[in-house]
Amino acid sequence: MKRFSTLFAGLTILAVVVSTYGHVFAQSNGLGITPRKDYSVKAGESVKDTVYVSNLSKDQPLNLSIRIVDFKAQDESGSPTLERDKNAPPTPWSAKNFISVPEKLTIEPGKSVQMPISVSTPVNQGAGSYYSAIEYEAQTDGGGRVSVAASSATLIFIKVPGEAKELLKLQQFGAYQSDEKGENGSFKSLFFASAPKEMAFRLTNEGNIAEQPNGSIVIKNIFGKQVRVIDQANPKKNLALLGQTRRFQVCMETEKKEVKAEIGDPVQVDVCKPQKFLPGRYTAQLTLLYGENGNNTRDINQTVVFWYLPAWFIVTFIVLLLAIAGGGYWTYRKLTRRSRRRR
Amino acid sequence: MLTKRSMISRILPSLVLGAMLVFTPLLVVPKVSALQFQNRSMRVGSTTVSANTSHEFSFEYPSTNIVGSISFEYCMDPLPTQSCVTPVGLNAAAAVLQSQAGETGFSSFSASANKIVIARTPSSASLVQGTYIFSGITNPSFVGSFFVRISTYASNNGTGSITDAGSVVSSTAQGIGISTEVPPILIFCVAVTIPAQCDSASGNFLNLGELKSSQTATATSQMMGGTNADFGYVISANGTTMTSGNNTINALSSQTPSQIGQPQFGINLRANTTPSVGSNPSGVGVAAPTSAYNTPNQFKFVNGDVVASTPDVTDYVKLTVSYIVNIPQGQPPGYYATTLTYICAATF
Repeated sequence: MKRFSTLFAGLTILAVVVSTYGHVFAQSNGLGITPRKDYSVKAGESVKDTVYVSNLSKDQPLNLSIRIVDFKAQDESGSPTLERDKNAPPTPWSAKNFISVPEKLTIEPGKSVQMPISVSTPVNQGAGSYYSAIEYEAQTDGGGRVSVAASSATLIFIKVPGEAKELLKLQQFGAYQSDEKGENGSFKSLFFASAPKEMAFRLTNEGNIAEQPNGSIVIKNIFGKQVRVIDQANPKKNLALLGQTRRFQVCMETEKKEVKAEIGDPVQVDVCKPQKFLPGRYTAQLTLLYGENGNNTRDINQTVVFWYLPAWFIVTFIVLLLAIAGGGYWTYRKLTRRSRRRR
Repeated sequence: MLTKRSMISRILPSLVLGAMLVFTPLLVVPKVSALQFQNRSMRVGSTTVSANTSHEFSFEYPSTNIVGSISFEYCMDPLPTQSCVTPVGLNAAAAVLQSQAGETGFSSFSASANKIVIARTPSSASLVQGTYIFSGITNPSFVGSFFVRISTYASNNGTGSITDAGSVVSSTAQGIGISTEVPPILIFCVAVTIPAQCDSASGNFLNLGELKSSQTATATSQMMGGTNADFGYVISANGTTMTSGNNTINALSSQTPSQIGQPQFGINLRANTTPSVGSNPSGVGVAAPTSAYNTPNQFKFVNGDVVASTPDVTDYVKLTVSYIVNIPQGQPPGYYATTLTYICAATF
């Protein structure tokens, strides 16, 4: 009996230890953060600020490992690719050495903190854009074949004001047709099925400032009459990073569309509104301006042509053409007969 | 009787004439012309939203035409041919001309919420850089770009035909330490299961059991993301394939169906039937899997690939990641494991 009691007591202690072990190492894997911060810091100066970080779990602490990593544009979109290799050399635009944040952070369940951040630039730092990201990685238990961890990043953009090289080169501008999934698409000058709904332009940034160009696109019909004005050619304030060729897409008009959700009520999203253009030739004039505060304003101007020729119009056109030809032939025959009779 | 050749020779001119009649108007290209100031710039004393600050304009006069007045019109669009929409919050009604250089002799003529006119006795301009600094202007109340259309006139009251023109761009920024009413937040969680919202997420590791060459090992994890930032977000999958020491199971570098007996490690974000694993995205948001991970029964895994994205504000969307592992008969024994970190970051 004594042995049984000892074994029972031992098992109880072990069970408690295992249970405690599991409980102590249960970690939150959900966080809320400030997605982006933009700073303008003169060479040799520093700023102090905070970023928001929250623990989304109501019963588990969030243990975060925090580090500064470089990032670059993944493609022509605005997707960042974080450079997570600790041995990777810094990018030419790296702001790693300018940013200071805590290396670790623990946030109690359901709480949020304003994490301090300081940005300091060296005295002789040249003007331009510098950017890196703060990566917050939730520490996980591990132990399975596949461990999953949540990580989020705050993109940090730092501008050092002064005379910087600003140069955007227009690669392409025109009417654009997105693919079904909206990830890619193509520039087109002929539209048969429906009129274009989107315009797009591609710019290569050859300067040392991450640029946010803006301006307008004016679309005119064959008679020079204005049919659409897109007064914000870059409505989402997208950036062209250093060395990046960035595609900017903009709807000619937007409308709210109801999207069926699997749970809850349907949601409304902004989509490009189908355009009711008459068939014919259209010109689109792009005017973009960019330039940092105090630097020269630069222009990009381009005019392109696109055609909207729906099937019904082509058929009508051919019938019309044949009718004109037939009418001409009939008139010719009639005239030649008359002249023969006169002879 | 007409021969075929003579018929063609008679019909052809009619066809050509008809085509010309129809097409000629379509080939007319409208001419576009613009005369602009060179080396033009704008410097805002403080770029903070709603700040009361100075605005400095500088531009090179392109001609020696008579100039009696200059107007500075703040708009959301740079084109003088378009109607001007005033930037929200901007107020130039109290603008005062503080200094001038280059082409001088101007004094304040009028100032409204979005337009300043300075004037002088009309006289020929020189081909110089003119600089004009105004104080007492309230910046727009939003973060973003705005434009100033600068025009010169022969008249001394900012009316009549425009002599020379050009637009400059500037932008405002949120001040350091200033919180907006609803700051942008990006919310993200990853777990084995997320029954409701992120606060219900539980579990960090998946157990695929014993790997066998005769069957596909499967598992799922879930993640949810949402943001009120209008630039949206992307989620990338980061990590390696499953490894045991130096031994690895091949990751699928392109979309491939699951094949029993082949070395395969892959994921997708859809409900699959072969094998039966996973769920389709659910939730009220608009984030969606990217095309490479959005086909049922097709799996892929490339370190750093974006697996889901949204270009816009989105409410919560729950994404279920399906994992498949196949091994061949000769797979070296060992404990194969990996850690996958899903990174959610804003787009720019």
